[in-house]
Amino acid sequence: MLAEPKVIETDVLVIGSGGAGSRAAIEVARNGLAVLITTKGVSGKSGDTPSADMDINVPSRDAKEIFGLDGDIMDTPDSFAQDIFQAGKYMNNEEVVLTLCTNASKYVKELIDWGMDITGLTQGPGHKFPRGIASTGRSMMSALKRGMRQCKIDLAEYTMVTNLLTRNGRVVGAVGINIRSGDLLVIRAKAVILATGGAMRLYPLVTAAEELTGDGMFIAYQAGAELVDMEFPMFLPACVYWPESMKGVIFPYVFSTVVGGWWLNRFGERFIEKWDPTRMERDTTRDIAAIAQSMEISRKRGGQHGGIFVSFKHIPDEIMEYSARVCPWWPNFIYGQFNLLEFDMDPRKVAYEAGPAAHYWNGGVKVNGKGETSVPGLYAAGEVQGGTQGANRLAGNGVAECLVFGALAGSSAAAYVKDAPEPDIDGAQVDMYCEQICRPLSQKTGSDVFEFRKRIQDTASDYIGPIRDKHGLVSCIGEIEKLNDEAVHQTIKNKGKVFNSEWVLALENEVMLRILEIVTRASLLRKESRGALYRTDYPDTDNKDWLKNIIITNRNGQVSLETKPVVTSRLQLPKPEKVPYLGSSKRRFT
Amino acid sequence: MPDKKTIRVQIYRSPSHDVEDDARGGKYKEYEIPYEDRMTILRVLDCIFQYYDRSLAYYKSCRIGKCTGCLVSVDGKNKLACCTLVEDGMRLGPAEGFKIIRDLVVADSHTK
Repeated sequence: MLAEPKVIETDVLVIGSGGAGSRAAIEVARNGLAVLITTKGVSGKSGDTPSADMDINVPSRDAKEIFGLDGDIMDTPDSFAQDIFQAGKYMNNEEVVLTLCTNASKYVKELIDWGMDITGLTQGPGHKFPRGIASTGRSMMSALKRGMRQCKIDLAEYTMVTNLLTRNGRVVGAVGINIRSGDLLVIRAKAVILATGGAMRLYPLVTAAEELTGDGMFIAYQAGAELVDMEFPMFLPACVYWPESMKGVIFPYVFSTVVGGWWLNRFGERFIEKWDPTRMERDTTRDIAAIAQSMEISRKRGGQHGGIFVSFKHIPDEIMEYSARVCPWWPNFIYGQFNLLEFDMDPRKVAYEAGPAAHYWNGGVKVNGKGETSVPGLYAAGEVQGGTQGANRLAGNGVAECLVFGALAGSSAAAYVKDAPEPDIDGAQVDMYCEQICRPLSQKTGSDVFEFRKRIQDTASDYIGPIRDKHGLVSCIGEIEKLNDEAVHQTIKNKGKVFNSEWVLALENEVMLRILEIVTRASLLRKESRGALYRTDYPDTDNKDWLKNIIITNRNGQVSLETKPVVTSRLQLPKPEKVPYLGSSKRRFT
Repeated sequence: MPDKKTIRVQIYRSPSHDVEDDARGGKYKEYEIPYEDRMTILRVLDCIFQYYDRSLAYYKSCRIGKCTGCLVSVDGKNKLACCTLVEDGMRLGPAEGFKIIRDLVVADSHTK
């Protein structure tokens, strides 16, 4: 017997309280509509925005003319877009990219007016001009909070949305749980904006926050929306693998780019020499670095905790100490709030065991330049959206995307709501989802929720990391089929109502399992290597046959894939030929 | 080689799993768990939650000292669980100055 869900009404539901969700809600409220933000955690203390060490890209000319920074007037939105397209290995959606490049400055300006601190202008790898306005996620969230206080926005914290409600192909609301009270919720809404971020938690080694389990992509897929570029999760190289308490922290990578760390295998070799000998550790790109590190690890050339080694011991102490004094990232060897000396992580004394960790979700829910998905009434903004980053994200684009598409999705949803019918909720659909949500509370035998999560994450780590091949991907499908049978029988020990984290884990596991399947099937279909995906059985980038996106839809509960050629009118495509992934046929990852 | 060393901590537990703890009416309970190299308070909570008591309520998000969501009271002083190394005998409670929801989870000022 199920408890009756509580019903909440709003015009627009925004799922997620980070940069994209906050900005979207502001835009909806400015249009005089009711807006509700839900978040699994606490606004400002959850999602990936608060923890970002970030640059926000704007065209370099605007950096100079609008922001008074040392930008270059030769840059234009089109040349910025071409850099994004090249970094994304030509998988990006042209309309989405051009929208980002022409609108970024406007929304960054607004944040500065709300008090965001900026500390300078950077030129990240892959950028022809300096475009990165440097700030921090915390400062950006404070600015957005100031913007939100000028509007009427309702907030439901500790709230997980588990499914979207649809009627005649339109989105009419959502169901979920209030984690704080244990109540089931039905949210009646004329439109829904997804701002839930990526699905990096699918992997055991991850730089992202706890909440990032792919919820938005899953519920959109379940409601019939198209997903795109799901085969390209992005990995950041050189993240901590040990100690357990610091797993996924990114400082060895950050320090490597600042002072030039060496990445060594267990024989003490600087293995990047084999694959990117001119650029080496400091200047190689993140995709190549992650693949190189994975290759060393998979060939048993790593250490006991599964990583490679990052060492700064070739650098004199005086240089490290100078850097720790002047570099804003690690004053006095304190990174974030971690005192590296207290944690026996003094870079003058120890080599760190480190390696790739899931960092960003390049693909996601397919949107157009207005933030609209393929389902009426459903919008996506920020990391959950697909199309902006293609096969690899250019540094500084994550936050820019949140701001621009947060605002645009908000404005598109507001326009849609003005003519949308009253949401007509299908009671049978509500009952079905509520029963699924409550299943773990009554399940008596089956897989333990933690063991189940570990199996999902280990499967992701084994088969869909930075390097993949047909054999592994086929094995992965076999594992997924076993997990599918068990997913509905997950058991939890705690049946309490208030803040039952075990229940949330069980619900997230079902989401993660579906994302695992989608990534695996898309990776198997793509018979080439491109950007964040390297297939050892297809080591070239195939610009002849694979300048195509893979579009994923839910066809009666089955993952359906189709390819669509990339078409552009302003952005320049590469020559239609196969090219070696590392640029030269002499170099192959082995 | 397995590390056989253990560590003891006391953790504030609310009286009920089904209603919010409005009156700070709970008690401190002692747990003894295996010690792990450079173990933080957050790792202690993760370990207790996963292996000893699935009803323990605590909050975490970024795990790297930035979101500040894992603030707890450590022997009477508020500290971030993710970046503070654990010591034997520590007394861990809900962050001082906030309303409790349950165990170590407190209501943020923004919560209705």
